[in-house]
Amino acid sequence: MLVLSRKLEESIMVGDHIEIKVIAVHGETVKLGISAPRNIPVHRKEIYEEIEKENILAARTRAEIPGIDLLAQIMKTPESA
Amino acid sequence: MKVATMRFGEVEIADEQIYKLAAPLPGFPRTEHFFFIQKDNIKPFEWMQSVEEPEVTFVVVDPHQFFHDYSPDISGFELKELGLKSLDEATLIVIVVLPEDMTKMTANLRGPVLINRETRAMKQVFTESDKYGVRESILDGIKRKEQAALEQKIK
Repeated sequence: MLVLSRKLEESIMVGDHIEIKVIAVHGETVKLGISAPRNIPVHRKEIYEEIEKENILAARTRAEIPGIDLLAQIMKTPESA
Repeated sequence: MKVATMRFGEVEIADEQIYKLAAPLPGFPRTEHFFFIQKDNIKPFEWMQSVEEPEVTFVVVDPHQFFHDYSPDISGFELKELGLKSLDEATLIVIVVLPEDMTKMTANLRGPVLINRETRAMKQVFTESDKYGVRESILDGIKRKEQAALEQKIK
């Protein structure tokens, strides 16, 4: 991993079109400004991790869904509630 | 080709049934291909089965079945990566979590799976905004859908 030191208001360029700038530093929080073309998705790592966690949970669905009509069961519930 | 699956045993599938991931599904770096299995008893849900990993199976569904106004904001970059010009050209599915209590089933609306049916390319994408969560109640979605249908009728 490339490690760079930056001061407030300084930035780094990733390629020709992506700029990451240090906007503010408060204690342990660094606020970054990211200028990237609209077609480049930028996400916090937490979002990736959240989706990863949810995928793992989803794949753990129990092996047997006894012969029930899932939709029938969930559709019935709102009326009885 | 024959594919070993934990849930369905050995399954014979044609090459045209196989979808290739444009990027790994978060949490499952060893799976590159999926295929879909429809079963009457879980309609409108479908199974999404990994080709490479027999034990990796998801329950997926067309989100509009339950979330009538679902309109994820997906970046043009993601669409382009799948060779799609617009979201209208794409097939969208969402991954479902089925707990013991079926009324608590949720869908991941934050990370829908985008599919190009023509090229059979697919990718789980992240919506740009946090308007949708990874664990949205399907039951609440149905209730809102029924409510909206009712209001439409009154008008």
